[in-house]
Amino acid sequence: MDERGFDGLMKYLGEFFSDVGQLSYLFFRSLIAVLTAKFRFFLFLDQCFMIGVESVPIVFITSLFVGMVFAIQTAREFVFYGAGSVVGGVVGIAIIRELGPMITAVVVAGRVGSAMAAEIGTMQVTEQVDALSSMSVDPIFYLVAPRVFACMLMLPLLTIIANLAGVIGGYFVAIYYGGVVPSSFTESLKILVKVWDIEASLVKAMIFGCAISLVGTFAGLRTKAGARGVGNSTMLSVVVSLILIFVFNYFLSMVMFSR
Amino acid sequence: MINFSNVSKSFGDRSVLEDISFFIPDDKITIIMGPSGCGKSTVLRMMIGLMKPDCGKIEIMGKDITKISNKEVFELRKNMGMVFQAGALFDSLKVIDNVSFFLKEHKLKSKEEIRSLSIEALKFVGLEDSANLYPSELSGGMQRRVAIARTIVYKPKIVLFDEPTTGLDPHTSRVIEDLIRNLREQTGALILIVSHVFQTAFRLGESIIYVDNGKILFEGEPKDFVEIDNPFVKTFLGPEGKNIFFNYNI
Repeated sequence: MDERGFDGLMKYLGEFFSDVGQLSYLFFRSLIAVLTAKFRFFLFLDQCFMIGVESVPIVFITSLFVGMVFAIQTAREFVFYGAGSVVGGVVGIAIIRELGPMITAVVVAGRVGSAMAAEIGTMQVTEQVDALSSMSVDPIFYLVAPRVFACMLMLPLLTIIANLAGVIGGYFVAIYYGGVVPSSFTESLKILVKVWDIEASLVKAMIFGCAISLVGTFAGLRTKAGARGVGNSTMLSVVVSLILIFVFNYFLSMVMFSR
Repeated sequence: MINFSNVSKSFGDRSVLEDISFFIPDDKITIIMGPSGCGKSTVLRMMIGLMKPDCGKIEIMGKDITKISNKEVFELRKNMGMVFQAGALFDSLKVIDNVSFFLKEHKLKSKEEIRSLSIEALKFVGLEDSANLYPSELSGGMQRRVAIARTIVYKPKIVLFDEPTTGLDPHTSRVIEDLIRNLREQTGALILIVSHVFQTAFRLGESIIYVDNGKILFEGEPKDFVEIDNPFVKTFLGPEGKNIFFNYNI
């Protein structure tokens, strides 16, 4: 590797670790906001509504259809090979362990993470963030902490809805399209899906929520250069959030379901 | 009350301020003038602790803002107000909520008192009828008046204005200038204005600091400013030359 390439690599690594450091700083400052009672509860409720309640329809619809597609791909094949009695369990495991939290996180990253980056980015370029600081209000306490904790709370709740929608969608397709017996679907669901699967699903969702909100707020706070900067931050927040969701999902699945 | 000693600031390779020192007295309206990009706004941002200098000392009310902790900076800022160039109003909040923001955040008064003080501040800027509008429903001049109300509502001892009349029509500029003068007369607050608008500088300024190429080229009274024999100042004043002072000091 020539010297320029090496310097470039070192610069890239430096920026990467600096960003990781700043993200960690945002998280710990947000935690301090909660622990020192400087948490804005009403802003938190606002964010819960925006992140949670307003995302319900899209999370429900996407998860319903993902569950239905999954059942299309599995039900008839399983029935053909004489394994129709486990379709419910397979659909349940796939949805609850992986697809539910993933779909929810992807939807929220696109809908809410980008909105966070755009909103805070606009505040940054119009000096509203500086105005907060000039009035002795910590922008991390005011803008970041309510969003991070609202996202960490709402993602698991949305994941419950996504899991239910996915399983319901899978149920109807498996029965009416795949020819699976209804009672065998529900029985295998009960037998194969463990409580731990549901718990792990919610823990995953919470971690995804933390990542999405930290990336979204971080991208917003470091916005520069006007409208173009806001556009770049928005794009960056979605891209980085999606990558993190997929990477984290792999490692979390490795740890959680290695038994 | 504000003292800059040997302050320098660079952005990458570009040096914006080079070893500048000046003193802002309590009893005068001081204007920092200079062409765009000369570092005027950087001076304001460093004063309020939004930016740190590379070296030097910035004393605000006896405290060196470059040395004190973040917590102390936040405490110090409660005595300071800054009116940003385009107002920087919170666009998700109504005008009345923008104005009462500081008092609500710091829980300094009861709800009723906060509301009455906010209305009083809006009356001061002549916008009490706009209390329930959102910033996006106001003109640029009105937004700046709300920004002034938002700053004066908590009666800071130091008020910093970043280009308060830039981009406004002559009438609105006069309204803003009158508000600043009234603010000074009624509260006795230290007023520091950063501007490259002659009209504002000569109508309001009792003391002028001229910054160009990272250095202070003039510090003194406006009438002396137009007399100095400096090519940068002459270029800045343009063809009107020293007549500019007599044209606008009315």
